[in-house]
Amino acid sequence: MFPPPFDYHRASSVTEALSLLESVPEATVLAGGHALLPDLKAGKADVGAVVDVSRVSTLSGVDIDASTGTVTVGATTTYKDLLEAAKTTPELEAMLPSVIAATRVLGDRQIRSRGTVGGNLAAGHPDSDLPAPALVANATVEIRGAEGTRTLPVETFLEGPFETAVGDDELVTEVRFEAGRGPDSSTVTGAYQKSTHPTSGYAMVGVASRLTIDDGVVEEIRLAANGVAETATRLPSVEEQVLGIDLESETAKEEITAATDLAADDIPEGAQRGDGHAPASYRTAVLGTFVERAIDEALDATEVDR
Amino acid sequence: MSDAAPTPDQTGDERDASSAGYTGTPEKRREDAVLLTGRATYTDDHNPPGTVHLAFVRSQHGHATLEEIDTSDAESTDGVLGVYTWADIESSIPGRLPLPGLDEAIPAHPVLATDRVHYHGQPIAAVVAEDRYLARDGVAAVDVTYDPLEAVIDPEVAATDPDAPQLFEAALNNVAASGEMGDAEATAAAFEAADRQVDLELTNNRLISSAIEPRAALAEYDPDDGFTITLTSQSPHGHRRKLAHTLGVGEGEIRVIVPHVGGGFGHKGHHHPGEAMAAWAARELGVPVKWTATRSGNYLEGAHGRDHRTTASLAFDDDGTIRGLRAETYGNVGGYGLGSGARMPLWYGRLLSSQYTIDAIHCAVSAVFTNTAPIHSYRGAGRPEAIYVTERLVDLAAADLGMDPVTLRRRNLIDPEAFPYETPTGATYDSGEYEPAMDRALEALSGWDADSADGRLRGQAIANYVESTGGGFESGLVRVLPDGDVAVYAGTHSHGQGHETTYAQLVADALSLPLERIRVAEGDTAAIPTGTGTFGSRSTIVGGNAIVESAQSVLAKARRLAATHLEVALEDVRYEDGTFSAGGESVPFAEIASMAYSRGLPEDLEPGLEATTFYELEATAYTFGTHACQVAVDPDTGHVEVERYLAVDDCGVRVNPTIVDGQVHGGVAQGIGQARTEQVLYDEDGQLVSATMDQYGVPRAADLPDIETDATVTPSPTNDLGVKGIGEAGTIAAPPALVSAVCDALEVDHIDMPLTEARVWEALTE
Repeated sequence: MFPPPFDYHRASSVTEALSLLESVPEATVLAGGHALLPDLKAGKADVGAVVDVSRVSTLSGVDIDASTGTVTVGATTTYKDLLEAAKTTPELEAMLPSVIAATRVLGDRQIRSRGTVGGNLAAGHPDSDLPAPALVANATVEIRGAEGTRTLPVETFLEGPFETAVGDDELVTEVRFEAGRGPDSSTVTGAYQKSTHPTSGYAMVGVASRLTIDDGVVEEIRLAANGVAETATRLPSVEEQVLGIDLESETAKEEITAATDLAADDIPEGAQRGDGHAPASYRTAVLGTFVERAIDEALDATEVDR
Repeated sequence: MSDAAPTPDQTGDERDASSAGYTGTPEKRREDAVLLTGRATYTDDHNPPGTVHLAFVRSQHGHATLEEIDTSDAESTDGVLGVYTWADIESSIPGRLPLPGLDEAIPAHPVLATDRVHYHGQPIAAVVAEDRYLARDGVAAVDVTYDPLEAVIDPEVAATDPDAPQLFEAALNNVAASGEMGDAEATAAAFEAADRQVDLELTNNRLISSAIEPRAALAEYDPDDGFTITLTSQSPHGHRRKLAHTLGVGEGEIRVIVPHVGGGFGHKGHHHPGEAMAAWAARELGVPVKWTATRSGNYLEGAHGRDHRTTASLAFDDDGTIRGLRAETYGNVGGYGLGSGARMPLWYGRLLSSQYTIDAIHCAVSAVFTNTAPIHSYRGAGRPEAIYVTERLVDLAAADLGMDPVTLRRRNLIDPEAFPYETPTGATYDSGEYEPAMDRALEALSGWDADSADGRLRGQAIANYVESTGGGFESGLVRVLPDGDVAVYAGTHSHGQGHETTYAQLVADALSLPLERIRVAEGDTAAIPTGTGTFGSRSTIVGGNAIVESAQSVLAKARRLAATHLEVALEDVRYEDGTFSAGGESVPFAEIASMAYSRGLPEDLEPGLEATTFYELEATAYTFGTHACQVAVDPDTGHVEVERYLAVDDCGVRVNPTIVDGQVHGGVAQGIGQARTEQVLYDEDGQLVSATMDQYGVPRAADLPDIETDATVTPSPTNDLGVKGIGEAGTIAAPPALVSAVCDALEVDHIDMPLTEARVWEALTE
């Protein structure tokens, strides 16, 4: 199918982009285009104009501040750019293990060259790979509009399936991720486990994990899942049970498995997500397995003696 | 040809290498440079001056009465040249696609909907506009008022539920046609006498045609020359005949040109409303009209395949001897019958015997209308459905006996001395030696690492198959040009199979000329004698033999010319590597060619140097083989990985082994797709839910293993070249091989395709 006609504007600065968004009727942001263009072609979206921000240099880039443990990623940073940054700065992966791991298995090579981190979150696709790692990394999203700048935690930013808090005349400008912190003696680790939908390439189930371990004990654990609910969601029922587990004890494995079995409890019945290929009942049934794998993979990367 | 069963005298590799000339050599495909560099011209690439575009308004409902079609907004849309409904066309063309063999009272598919729509996507109106975008704008502006009706999508329900909606008054219980194959009484007796029986209910899942190039047609009309229709097709002459039927004109008034075709696997063998509408509009408007289906349009009704519901049983003895097979099938026809597709389910039972000696078989089939897209031949057209039933039953029987499924198969293989062998379903297998292929597969399989070190469940299986190939006649014209170049024309039509290369190899060998002097062309009914087309794994066998026979006629005449020229007796003429010689004198082929078109030929020799053959096999050639598959199943998620796959096929002599391998690869990929990810979903109102490529699971290269291939060679006694078809073998063997391997891993009896994670998960947790 063909998109309905639309105008094209290329912004060279954030100010220009905002001005265009406000002044041009029915204008929408175009970055990597991988959410917008398929929708336009499928007749699911109809826009008067696109404001291409992909060449606004200030919107792209990865800034790593090891002292504060924050990583600020410009909204139009491509997945490929992010992975490049992880290659050139190894600390990045140590700081954001599930974000980097998810980016690696996202889409395919072509998608990773074009799609953007900001665009991923702004699209609010429930099966997308970045939202769960963003939740786990306590991410915040900066939005700029005519009235000024605001920052939202990602769980507030993601409002519903394909619905996010960025307004029609606003622009997501950056995403700030937090690394896990703990006392010097602690180890922070994380992972991303994905069940890939064979046709769409999105996640049928995607689980991000981050654990802080001190002296063999789980001091902090953050878990979130993509693909199983209307928006990416934390898994507090599991987190509560895993917190405090002594990983070196004999019963640690059992306890973790028992904890991960509770994962489905965190997916409200009315908000379960599924499709013809992988119904909701399947996704919630196997969620616990992926949670356990996301924990195991994270722990395997450490020297904890389990 | 000898009646004795031929033995595979050599392995595939040895045989290929020892053949003289080009046959058996893996020549690089001539087609590829143009295809891979984007220079190939497909139907949509053709744009004669003044071309306008046609697009369809398609039904939004699976079953509805059409209350009103308001075209006024569309007509006044910028760039729209015309908006047409059935009312506009019915007086000037018959307007219904061919539907042979059904009760005449059952209406055939109208090019544009009449008073009712029977499936989601059925064409209702056609919009012609200056470009394809404006045509879509016009489509969006047509306002259709529907009165939705209840829909039925399952063929068994449609035929057996008294409350199911009736699609056609003349089709009682929605049955388009029904039939039987084999002997009911003998089968009943076999079941009575046998020690045991296993029963199985299974579905052969619906498929959506997913060729890279969607359907397209460019029609031009001239009052004096008639229609010239350029379209994507597997069967140029077949299309000419069908278009003539739908347009109500003589075949002589239609010229069909088929350029490069981007895949088909069956669905481009039948005629599509878009082709006829483009032709009608071209005549109406006096300009070239082009219709190119969108992917979603093609998905809605490019033609779908398969969709059988079968209840089957196998009767066997305690020692594993198979006694009888019984099957009852409801085959989906779709919302309208489409050509031979409406009766296709009736023939599927022909191959139920597969490679096994079975005393009695009975197969009863109902072909049933439902509110889904019409079904036609695709990827094997009935043959995969039969082999699937038999292989699943054989596995179940083995499980029932606690016997190794390989042992059970081996015990029942048709004896190599028994050919030609007539099965209880009336198929006569020309030749076969099944054990060597099976043993090669097993030998390889035994070397595969089936360790469970990573916690996944591993399963291994083989699937045996036969495939009937080479039906119908084919035309082959070999024309030598005055300078000795050779032009070859065939009525088949390559849509990826590499005919340009394979045919050139055959003719180069037949004429002992270099490959470069041979040019092959297909796809123009004005230039090529009436042929049949490419489908049913037939081209090399019937097309190849046709052109070789023509080449031989040509050579015979050239020899006579040479004898005259060299002034020797015919029997004294030698011919080798393009040169005729006798008594120390010689003359090259090219010179003989020139002579053939010159004056001064002796009285008994006509000018010219060409020959046409219409070739038909006297008996069907049966390709066979064994495929082996190993899967790893994640017991906690149901994910199936095909770890290894080996195809051992016997298609007789292999003219170009690389091309044969390519055919096998393509078929296996499609078979794995059907078995693992391709799922067509209609909701209960007949809406196609899996309507795009991000919902319908066409297999990706990255999801497939390296497909290993091997071969045995049992030359076919049915034809001088000793060849058989191979195009669909993979689609036939891969589904049972994969399903069997997964069942082996899970130690369950059966799981219906596609084996998605969710379905395998259910089987694991039941």
